[in-house]
Amino acid sequence: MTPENKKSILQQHKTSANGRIKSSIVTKAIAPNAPSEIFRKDEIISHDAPTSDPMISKLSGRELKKMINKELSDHGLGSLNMMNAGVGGELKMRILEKLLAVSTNVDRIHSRPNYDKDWNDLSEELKAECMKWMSFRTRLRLRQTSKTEKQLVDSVPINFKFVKVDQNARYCYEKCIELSFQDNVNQETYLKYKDPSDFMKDGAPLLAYILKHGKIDEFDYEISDELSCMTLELLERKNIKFCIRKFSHIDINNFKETLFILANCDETLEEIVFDPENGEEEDFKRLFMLPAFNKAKFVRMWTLKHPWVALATLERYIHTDAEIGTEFEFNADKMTIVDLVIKYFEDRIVYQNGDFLMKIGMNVADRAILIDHEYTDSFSEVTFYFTVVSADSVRRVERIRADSSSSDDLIPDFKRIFKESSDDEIYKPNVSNVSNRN
Amino acid sequence: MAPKKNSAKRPQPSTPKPSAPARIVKVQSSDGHILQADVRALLLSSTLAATIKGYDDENKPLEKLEVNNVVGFTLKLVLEWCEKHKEDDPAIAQAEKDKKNIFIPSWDRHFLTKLPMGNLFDLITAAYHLDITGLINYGCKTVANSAKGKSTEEMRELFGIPEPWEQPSTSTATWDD
Repeated sequence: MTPENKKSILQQHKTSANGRIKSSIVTKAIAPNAPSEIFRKDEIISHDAPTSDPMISKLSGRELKKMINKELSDHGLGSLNMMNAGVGGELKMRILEKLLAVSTNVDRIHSRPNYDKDWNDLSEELKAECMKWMSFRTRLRLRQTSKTEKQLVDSVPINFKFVKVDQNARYCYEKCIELSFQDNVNQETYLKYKDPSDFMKDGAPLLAYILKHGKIDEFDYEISDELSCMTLELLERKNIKFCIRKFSHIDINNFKETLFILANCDETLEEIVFDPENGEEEDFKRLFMLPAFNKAKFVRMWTLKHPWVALATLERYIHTDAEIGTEFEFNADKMTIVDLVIKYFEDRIVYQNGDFLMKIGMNVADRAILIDHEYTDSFSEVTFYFTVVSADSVRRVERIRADSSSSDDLIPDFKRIFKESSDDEIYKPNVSNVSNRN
Repeated sequence: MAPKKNSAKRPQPSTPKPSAPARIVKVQSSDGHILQADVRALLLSSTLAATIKGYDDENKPLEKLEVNNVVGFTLKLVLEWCEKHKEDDPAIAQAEKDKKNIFIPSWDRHFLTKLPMGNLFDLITAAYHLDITGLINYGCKTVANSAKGKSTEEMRELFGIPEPWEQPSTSTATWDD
């Protein structure tokens, strides 16, 4: 007898001694085109399992019992009745060993397989593959089953379409704090906390977990100063690096919070939307020092009160040879910005029309910065777009934005015509000369 | 009288496309069982496809393929799945791998959900060894679906996870699907 067979018998013996039931599987074909139906039979040893031995499979239970008794007595091991009557221990083991030894010709494909795995036998790659299809909440429950699963769940990042922390959300009848997110399998969750202390007890740790282990497509952070301060303190204590593609912080304009989150974002960050209305000069200087901010492909600032920020951004785009598609969008006074651009970048202007649509040459010949603007509801402000475009383009590629549905209505028709007309060109030197001049 | 559903005007199911005659190959499992399979079905496995290609390139007759890490019972299931999907475009399975969610066709759902969890784990392990992307996708998704809505205790029982662990104090412990 091989050691494996012996081990198998010992295991069976141990199992039956503990009173646990072993299951057996019987396959049965239903129709040529249908998958095999699998039945689970709860018994210790199945006599009903069909075998490939035609003689054995045709025998009734009684006949089979007779045959086994004969085999047992031939080998001097008593009978099955002796076994049922409690003759156990060593004799039982010997009987089972003998039975297994004489059944070498049984076709195991049609008998009960002994190769069952459980979750713990799966490789980490396969476990991760299974977790990929689990919702966030299912993963959290799996995480609580064992230390191994906790480590594994935490090691596999989960994608979130959005994560939003909001105060006084639209669908709340009473004042509350809402933490909402959509996970990798598009399951949306909305958690409402009536009291800030409830949020700090349950919501903030969950948010910290999501930020620590999630890859977030869009993170919208809109909670008030005091609560935000406590939440950010918690995040700081946990020393978390955020993996966020788009960060929005519009309704609550606290520059310090924006700086904190941007300082902890990794290189995944592509889009930043925030309101720097109360930002001081020092805050902007710190902002320009942040790698995540400098790498972001799209930055949208509402009301920009420091025009030098716009000029500094232009400088940065030129000196870093920013990629085509990089864009800086902000609201500011039209003529202030136009005058400053003309004053500081006059020698780089390669195109300008009557409505101050301008193009600034960069250090690389294949691209340029298009300075475009759109009128807003405000009398004094327009929305500016500094976009890196290909050198021969004079049109900004429209970004697809969720909030852009009505923005086109605000642009007067004449502006579109004006932009596309080449008759209004004031100055248009040969683009190929631009790189030589610089 | 209402017209019969199977009236003559109803479009007839299209006749199956004429295809090359099946090339049958023997496949031997780790425990010595020999099964037969169509080569087109075996090509769904990148591992076996590479072996078959090696034989074809050297113009060697392919009599028997040995699968050393899959037992007969599981191999039979794998071959049954491959036989059903032998006409599938492998690019579809590759594309599904990166999707957020996939739809499991009814035959596969029936085939996979009827399996006890232990056999399902055996099957996805075999699919992983043989590198059958479609079967890995559907198998793993079926495992994930079986865990949906289960409590931690139920999940521990379903997956045979023996090690109990103290519940964390956050409210996340009580969420339901």
